Amino acid sequence: MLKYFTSILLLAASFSTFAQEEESDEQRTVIVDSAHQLRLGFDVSKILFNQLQKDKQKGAGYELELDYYHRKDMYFVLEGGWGSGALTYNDLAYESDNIFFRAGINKSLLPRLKQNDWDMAFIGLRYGIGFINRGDANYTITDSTWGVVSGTVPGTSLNAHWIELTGGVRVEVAHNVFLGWNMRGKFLLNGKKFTELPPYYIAGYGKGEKNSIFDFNVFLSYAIRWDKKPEHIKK
Amino acid sequence: MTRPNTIIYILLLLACGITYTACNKTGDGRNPCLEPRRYFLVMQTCSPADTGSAGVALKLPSPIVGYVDTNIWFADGRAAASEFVGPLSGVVDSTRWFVIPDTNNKAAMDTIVFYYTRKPVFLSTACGYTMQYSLYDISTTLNVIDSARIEKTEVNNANDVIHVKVFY
Repeated sequence: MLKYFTSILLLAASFSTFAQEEESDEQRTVIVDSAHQLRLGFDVSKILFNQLQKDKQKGAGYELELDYYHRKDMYFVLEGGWGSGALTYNDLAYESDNIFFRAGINKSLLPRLKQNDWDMAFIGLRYGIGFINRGDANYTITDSTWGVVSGTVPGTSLNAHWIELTGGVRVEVAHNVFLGWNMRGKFLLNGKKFTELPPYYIAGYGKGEKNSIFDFNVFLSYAIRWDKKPEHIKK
Repeated sequence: MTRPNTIIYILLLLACGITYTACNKTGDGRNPCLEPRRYFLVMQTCSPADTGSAGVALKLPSPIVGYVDTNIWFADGRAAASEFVGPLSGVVDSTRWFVIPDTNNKAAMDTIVFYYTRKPVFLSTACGYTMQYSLYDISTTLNVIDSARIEKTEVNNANDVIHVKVFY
């Protein structure tokens, strides 16, 4: 009898704890979601990347990121940038430049514990679009028997569409200043358009010849914050 | 808020990422070209079939086949053969081959002229461009050859394709 009584007590206690945790979670959500955060970041790794280019094949780009904390560890993200690429081989030479935009979400895997806890490890999803201008391409075909044929392929405008799976971290290293990185797996959606003389480098995506790409960013960001109106958090 | 250890982990991961990126760069950066850069025409010598017009492959006893305008040949008469694979000129719109069926009878020589249009096609950034050919006419002397005809017009390195049949 004592055994049953103890069991019922323990069960009741666990229900009680569960109820308190639920209430606690709700309270915590209300507390941590009581402020807005808008964060602007710049990919500092591209400064190094742009310096590492070879003489005959160059790809350079710059990337910016804007994210906004929505609620429940969810962020809306808008990214953009610009860049250029060039191949200057003896048998093939052409240049391209483009701007790009990416939009998507980040979901933090580490729930925020308090209102001023903005560190995050996240996964995310993006849709990207690049508007590309490819210049005239000069080619040379060398025939060991008959000689050399040269020609020019006229430049054109192209659009690239891709999706990305991303993950990374952001850490507040100083007040409102964040440092963090993203890893990205990118998948070109309209690769067939790029079988005929793809741009060597598409800023925001990578090598135009590849249908899938791994990429890496290091963002230095600055956040601005402001409190939500109280009536928005009383639900 | 940030703990000092967290910052160290971030910086370590950052260093790994940069190292990974740097180590993936190759010498001059250009990938090796791993596909054929030249497209070849395939010619088959035939004897007329009893029925139909397909013809039966006919091995020439010791054939020499090459360019008329050069000292280059791509069959040297050492072995009997019925298929001859050679390049077309990417510089002009026709190429002349000579065909000697038997090295013991060099007087029995014919010339074949292939007429075609050329189209540069992009292979890859590693390989650049190559020339693709589209045959539209063929002419031949009739010293030993009876006739010739185009079987496939596009010379683009497709497998198991005979572009021209020459009948003896």
